Amino acid sequence: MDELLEQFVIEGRELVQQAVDGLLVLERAGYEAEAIDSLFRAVHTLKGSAGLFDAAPLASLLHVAEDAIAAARDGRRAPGPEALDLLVDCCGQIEIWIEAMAATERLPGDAAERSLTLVSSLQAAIEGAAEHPKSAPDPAGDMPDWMRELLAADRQKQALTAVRYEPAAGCFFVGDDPLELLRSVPSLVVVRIERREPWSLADYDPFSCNLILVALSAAPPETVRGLFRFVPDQAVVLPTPAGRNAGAALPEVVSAKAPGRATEARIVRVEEERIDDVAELVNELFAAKSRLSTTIARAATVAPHLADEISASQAEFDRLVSGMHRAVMRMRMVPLDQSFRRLPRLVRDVAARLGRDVRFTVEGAAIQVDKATADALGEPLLHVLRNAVDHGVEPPGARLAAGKPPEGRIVLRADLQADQVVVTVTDDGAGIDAAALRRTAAARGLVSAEALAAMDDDAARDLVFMPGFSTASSVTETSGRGVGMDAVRSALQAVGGRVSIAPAPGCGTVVRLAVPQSLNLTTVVVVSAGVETFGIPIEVIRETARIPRSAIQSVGSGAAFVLRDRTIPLLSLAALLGGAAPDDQGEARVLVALVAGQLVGLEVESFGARMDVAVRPLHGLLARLPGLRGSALLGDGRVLLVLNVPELLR
Amino acid sequence: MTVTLADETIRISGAGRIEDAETLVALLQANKRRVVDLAEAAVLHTAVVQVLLAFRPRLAGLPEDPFFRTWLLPGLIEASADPAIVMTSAVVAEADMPDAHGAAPATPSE
Amino acid sequence: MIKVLVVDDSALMRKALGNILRSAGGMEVAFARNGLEAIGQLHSFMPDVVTLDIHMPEMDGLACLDRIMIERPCRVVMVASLTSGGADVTLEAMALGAVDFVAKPEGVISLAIDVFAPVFVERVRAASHARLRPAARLAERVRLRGLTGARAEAFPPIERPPSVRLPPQPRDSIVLVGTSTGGPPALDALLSPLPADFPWPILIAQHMPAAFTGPLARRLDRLCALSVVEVRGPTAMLPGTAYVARGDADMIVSSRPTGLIVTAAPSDPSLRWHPSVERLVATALAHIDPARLIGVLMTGMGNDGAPGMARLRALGGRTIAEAEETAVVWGMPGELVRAGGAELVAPLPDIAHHLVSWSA
Repeated sequence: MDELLEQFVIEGRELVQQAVDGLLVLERAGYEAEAIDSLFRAVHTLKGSAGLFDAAPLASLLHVAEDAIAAARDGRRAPGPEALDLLVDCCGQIEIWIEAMAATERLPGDAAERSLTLVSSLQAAIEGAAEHPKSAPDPAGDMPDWMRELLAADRQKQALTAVRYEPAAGCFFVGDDPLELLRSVPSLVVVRIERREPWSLADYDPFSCNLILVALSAAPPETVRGLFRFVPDQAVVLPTPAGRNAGAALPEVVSAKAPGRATEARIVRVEEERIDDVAELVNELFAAKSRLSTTIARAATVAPHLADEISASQAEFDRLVSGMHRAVMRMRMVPLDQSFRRLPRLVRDVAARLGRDVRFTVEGAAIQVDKATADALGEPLLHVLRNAVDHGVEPPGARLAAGKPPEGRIVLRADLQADQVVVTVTDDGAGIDAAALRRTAAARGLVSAEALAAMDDDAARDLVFMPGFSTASSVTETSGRGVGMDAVRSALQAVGGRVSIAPAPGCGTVVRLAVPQSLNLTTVVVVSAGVETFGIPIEVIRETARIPRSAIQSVGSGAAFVLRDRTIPLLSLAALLGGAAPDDQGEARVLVALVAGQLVGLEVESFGARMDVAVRPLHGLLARLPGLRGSALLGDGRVLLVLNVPELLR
Repeated sequence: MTVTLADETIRISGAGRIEDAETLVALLQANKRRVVDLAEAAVLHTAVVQVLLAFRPRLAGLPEDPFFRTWLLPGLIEASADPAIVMTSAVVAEADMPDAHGAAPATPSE
Repeated sequence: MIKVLVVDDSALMRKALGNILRSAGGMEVAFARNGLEAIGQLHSFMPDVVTLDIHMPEMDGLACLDRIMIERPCRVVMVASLTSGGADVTLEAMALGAVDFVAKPEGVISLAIDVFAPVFVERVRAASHARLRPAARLAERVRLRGLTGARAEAFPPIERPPSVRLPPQPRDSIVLVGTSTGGPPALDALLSPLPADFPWPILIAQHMPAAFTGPLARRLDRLCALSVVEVRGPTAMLPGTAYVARGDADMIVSSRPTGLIVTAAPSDPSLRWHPSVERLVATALAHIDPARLIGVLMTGMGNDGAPGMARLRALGGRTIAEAEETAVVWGMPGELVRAGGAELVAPLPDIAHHLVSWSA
């Protein structure tokens, strides 16, 4: 990378951070001279630096941001909440651009457009959105008056492009000739010229432009928009609806183009911590509610009427607390897209650096998950994708030699399975060479020879999750550095997630990351197996059944039973958990669970109550046990382990 | 371009450059009844057209420029009912629709 | 070999400016990250030219400049931002002794580095030849400081008698002033001795970006007895008023039925410098009897205005060229003298006295 650009990236990152720090202080504490000075200096310096590169969208965004900050500074006040939000957005955008410049030495293709959007929002925020009411389309979604009037003048009633070009009064001074621009619009249908201010003939200023040019063209909107791209702040280009009645509006067309924020949901920025505080209180309410059940049970023995009354109140209480909990959790839900957005660029960059051709697709980005879950997926995914490009997809030459297309494919796919988000990263590369893994592990002395010999290929593949393990023969710039899949595993385990690696069907590798969709309340059925009680999330349970022993048949090494004409495999929960299978009883108590589209029977010793619990991720030793989703604190202070049934069965 | 005055007729010839706008203003302010002859004018800068739109002098002689004839002329010879709207020109029939530089007959506004 | 000290808090800007200067050749470059470091380098590196960023933490550019001019006066080129706030500070810096400024590449119309680089090198080279004005005297400094507002009460606004001003009578003269590098302080020196009832309008073309001329006019208006305004549209010329041309545009004289006006016009792309002194003089000659015109050409690089004012003199007008001993850069006035177009060659402090004596 160019030395200057390199310096810019380093400095840019720091300055953006400095700016964000300043903004956060202003947001929290209102006007603070020191904070706003520091913010101004950061933005100002960054603007100066940006001018050194071919990065006009970045420079113009910084320019307006600086204006906004300077206005606030000179007025000795903090920017308004809307402006603050926008400035934070700007910083986010700038950060993205700086990273893009770091990776590709230039801004992404959509930079001009994004810059324009932010610049106009920011300008609107500065001017109190009152300055240009006539030129901006009505954000409520109505057709602007000027367009309605134009359409009335057109008799063809075909689909047209409308443009309203209000040149700046000083436009002649920057060399603009507005009529020349209008002249370049193909297929004009209607032209209307308005004047902005009444003419003042006595002291007429011939070098101040007082015209507003409004026109309809039969050319497509993109063509017309392209012509006005150098005066985006002065021209509005909109498609007109086809087959319209004169004056009838197609609101969705207009509002889709409207820069206004009014149509979007109002966003309030709240620190994550504050939502967590509320969530914590709600969790405690649940615990309190559970204790109430015990009280009611005791009350029933001495005063049944009173118990009924309390019971009725409790039901109401129950409903409210549940509603509250859902509301709190919804606050934390974000689309996975937030974590996925940076990935295509990452894949492209890594691929470019390593000389790989990769087609990368993302599916399921719209799935909503808890903010913490989305965050938790971010870093591990970066790592898994780097690995997929680096160790998965082969160089084009090797692929051709192996009879594959030179372009590798990596598919990132997110699914909701029960209450888990499962993200798989599948590549069509060479796959994992289990033998090579064994050799490496042996060479590094990570695992004893006997243990290696005893490992099947699945277990061998799991070696990649061992601390310090790296499959590439050399430590590469992209994936090496001593942190490997073990970091991915521990990051996911910290939020109650799991990661596994397997051969992909055909060729290649699939890495599967599973994390709870949210750390929310889960309704569980309490069951006992062996001497323990466990909670099983209700989502996976289809029904409970009592099956006579006689109806249970041996199938190979396992067992199965028939329920409503379907043969369902039967497993012992205690055995799955490493305990002894239950003694033969007259009948088996079976939970019928739906896992990966398959019905499975789980034999337990007894069914207990159904309850709502807040599941927390496991820490320490327990975190290593597969099949456990987390723990929940019960009303009586006991800890209930909640099972992850799909994982238990894999 | 040059702006010349002879017998109370202001003649604009050649390309109407931006600096000619001030000359035109001074001449029209001195006597609003002066006639502007555009027969020898080529493409006029917006600033020059704006002077014509503001002062609305009587025109004698029209420029060749089809864009001017199609889209600007109607507004220059007809007063608009709404003072804020200087002029509106519309294509009447599809056949008349000019392309960017095509010649089309002048079509008065509705 | 020109020794240049680049003072900037941004490592990137330091690197960029340093690269530009080094690749231009004939320059030895040293760097300072802030005002304190710059002061330290003054005595060790002994720079010929200092380029100084205005916005810096620790000690800002102005404070640093002030110290430089006291401790070891040297030629300082301000690296300024093209904002009106940046303009005020830059003008303040020029008043404190900076010889020139360059606009940082930034903003929407980003000066690409290859556009900026030659300008920057040219300015630094020119600055190395620039004449250091004798350090502003203490009284001068105090007067300038009064502008910042902190001590405004000690400097009551200059009283202007509410006289009825009439447009210039046919016999009256009009003063045309052209200047470039080193111009802002020179304009202060030219205009402040003139009385509020100076009978002629003064039209000023100072080469500058658009963002700077408004602040320049406001600053001069506060410092001088005359009214000083920036011309942004058609303006009737009044006695006792100085008209500063809008930056990045030209100023032209025109004759309307109501009388002579001066107005801002989009810059003529065939001319190199704007606001163009040539165009100001040419349009004035088109509408005004040359005998009524007085041309004053002051400090500045290049030759803008020299041919026009030489013609002005040939047609019977009067002209004054600033003398070499006071000009920061004796380019424009020097050209006028060489063209034989200077009726008088006078040091800066004397020009105002000549104007006053002619008007008496």
